[in-house]
Amino acid sequence: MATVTLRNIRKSFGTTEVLKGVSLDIADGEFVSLVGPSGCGKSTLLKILAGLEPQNSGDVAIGGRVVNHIRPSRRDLAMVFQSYALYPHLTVEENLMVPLKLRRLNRMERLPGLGHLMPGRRQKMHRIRAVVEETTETLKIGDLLARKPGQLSGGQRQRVAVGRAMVRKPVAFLMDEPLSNLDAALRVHMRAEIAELHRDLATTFVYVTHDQAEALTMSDRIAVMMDGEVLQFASPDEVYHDPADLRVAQFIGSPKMNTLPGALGSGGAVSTVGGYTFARAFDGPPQTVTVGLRPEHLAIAPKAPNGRAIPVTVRHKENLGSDFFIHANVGDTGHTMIVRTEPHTAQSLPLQGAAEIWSVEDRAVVFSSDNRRIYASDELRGIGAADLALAPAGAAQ
Amino acid sequence: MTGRAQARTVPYLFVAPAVTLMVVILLVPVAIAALLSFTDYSLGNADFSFVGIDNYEDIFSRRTYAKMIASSLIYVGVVVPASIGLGLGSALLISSLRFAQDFYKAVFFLPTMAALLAMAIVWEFMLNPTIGSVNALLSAGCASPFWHGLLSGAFLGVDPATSWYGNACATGFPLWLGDRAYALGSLCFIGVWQAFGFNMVLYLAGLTAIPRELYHAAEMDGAASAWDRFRLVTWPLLGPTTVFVVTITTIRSFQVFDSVEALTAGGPSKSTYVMMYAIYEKAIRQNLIGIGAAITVVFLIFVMAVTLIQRHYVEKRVHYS
Repeated sequence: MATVTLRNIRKSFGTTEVLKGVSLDIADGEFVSLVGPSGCGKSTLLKILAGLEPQNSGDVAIGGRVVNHIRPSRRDLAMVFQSYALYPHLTVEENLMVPLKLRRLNRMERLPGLGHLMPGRRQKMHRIRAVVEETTETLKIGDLLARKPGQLSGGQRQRVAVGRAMVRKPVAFLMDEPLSNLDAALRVHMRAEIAELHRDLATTFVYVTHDQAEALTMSDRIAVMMDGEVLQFASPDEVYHDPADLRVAQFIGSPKMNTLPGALGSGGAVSTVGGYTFARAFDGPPQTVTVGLRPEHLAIAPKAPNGRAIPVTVRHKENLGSDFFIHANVGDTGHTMIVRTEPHTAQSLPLQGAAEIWSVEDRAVVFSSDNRRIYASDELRGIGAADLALAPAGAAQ
Repeated sequence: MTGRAQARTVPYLFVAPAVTLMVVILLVPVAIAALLSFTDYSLGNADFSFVGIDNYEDIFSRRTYAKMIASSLIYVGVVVPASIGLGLGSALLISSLRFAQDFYKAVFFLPTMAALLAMAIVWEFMLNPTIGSVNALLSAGCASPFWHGLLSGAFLGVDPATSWYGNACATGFPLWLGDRAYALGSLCFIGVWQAFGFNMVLYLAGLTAIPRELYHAAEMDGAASAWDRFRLVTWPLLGPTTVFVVTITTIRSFQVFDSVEALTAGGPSKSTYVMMYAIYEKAIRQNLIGIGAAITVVFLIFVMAVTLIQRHYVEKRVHYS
């Protein structure tokens, strides 16, 4: 149970700067995801937090105590690795006992053979076994205790790795892409289990992933990282609905947010391809902008009801059962858009046929050419804006 | 031939050439050696007679052969653990270096690359009692109070005359290869010197195969000291390498010949009369093929025993998947 603070962390490998001054404040018991494309520095940041990699500058504090020069083993953190990093020569039970033995038994008691003669070792081992048993019950791996990691499936290994992190009751859990080696169905299942584990343990979790879906489903807050910087550190809703940066908008959400070139006029009016204009006014001097439109905030039909629409050609229909994603080309501009729609609407759209797309409730996010957000005049900025986005459309206006 | 019968014989025809070659090249020579070990055959003689187990009786009753087996076992017993310990130690030290790794690898591997026969001449010179550099260096230390005090243990308050060095200063340094008490030890030293670079290279390869994440996991789990990490990760994961290194070093040590031939020729008074040298002396020089073949068979049994023991008791425990 502890807060974790990273202050202005910088790290270079040779001449490549992988972390360019990252600061994060993680509250006690919070589940924070570090998400970003591969090579963004998120795993390096986690290793710096763990102490496995030294930072070039900046401070790491755990529970208010600066731990820059404290060994990983003394930081009282536990880590689940992408490869699980179980000791292949030890059984599951022995793997789970390792962290406890290393901490609770002294040097003499750990000696092979001779250690068994030390007084007090038996009681200590008894308590260690009790903790291991409790953990294996929680994780339902009791029947695997005698097996070696080589004889386990991917999901079982993952549980054992989580168990090895849990037995010690660390102040924070660090997880480095723990689900990326599992198959899709198991990944979804383990996502729920890890979230549940976090609720039960009420301990700080720092979770590194490149999968935005994992970040959105499990986290209290998400730090979106790109090119060694944190672009946005906010709740999943805020990151999704109120992205502070074009790169965040494009990274979070599946399918990706549609982005179209546009222009911000002198009256704050934004127009985009095909002369489509938005009713809302945006704050900013006239400039070229990028307009972002989520697939679920768009509607498509052979003919738009009020005439204001982007003409497109339907290229591909993706059937997800409950919904369809329509992929469409915008005239000859070379831009493609993806729109979510109902199955019955999709049926009315022939492939290669003409159709029209319009924005529902004018919900567009606009970015300047340096990727920064340009807010609409009636939009709340930053914290709180997500609540607006979640509220029923009419209520906010 | 019916189709069914053909289907049964065709596979045998396919493997026949390989099996034939294997039998002729690998098994028949061993069988012939085994057969000859029961005869008094000598090369060039038209006829020979079976002598039963006389040759083996000789090996296990005559003092010369008792010395032969003892010196072979002592040589193996010293060279195997020492060269493996040094090989592992130097591999761990080299892999922890940030620079000059290649330099150290090359230097330590040099004795393995150089022909032992050629290097033996250098050792013969260095160990020469009168003009050799080893004794020259040792006796130079006698004159210096510091070195004399340190090496004889006088700085601990020990009487210099009771220590090996103090005594040798007074009565003269050993003849090394010419002294019954030191000859085998000197050969063991040369054997270790030659073998550990090879073991070091094997261990370095084994070390690179250990995933870095395991060390990170050990560190997170509380393995704060290097010894803890060695016990928890390095040593168990080097298990397969160690099995291989032990086997190969044992076999190579049983086969020691060139340094014996070049430096001591089995002497003085048979103190370095190792098995390979005995085979050479009996079968090649004295043309006593029968007894030479019998020693060869005993030699093969030793090597086979080592291999089987490691397969049975160790291999199963060091392969984890």
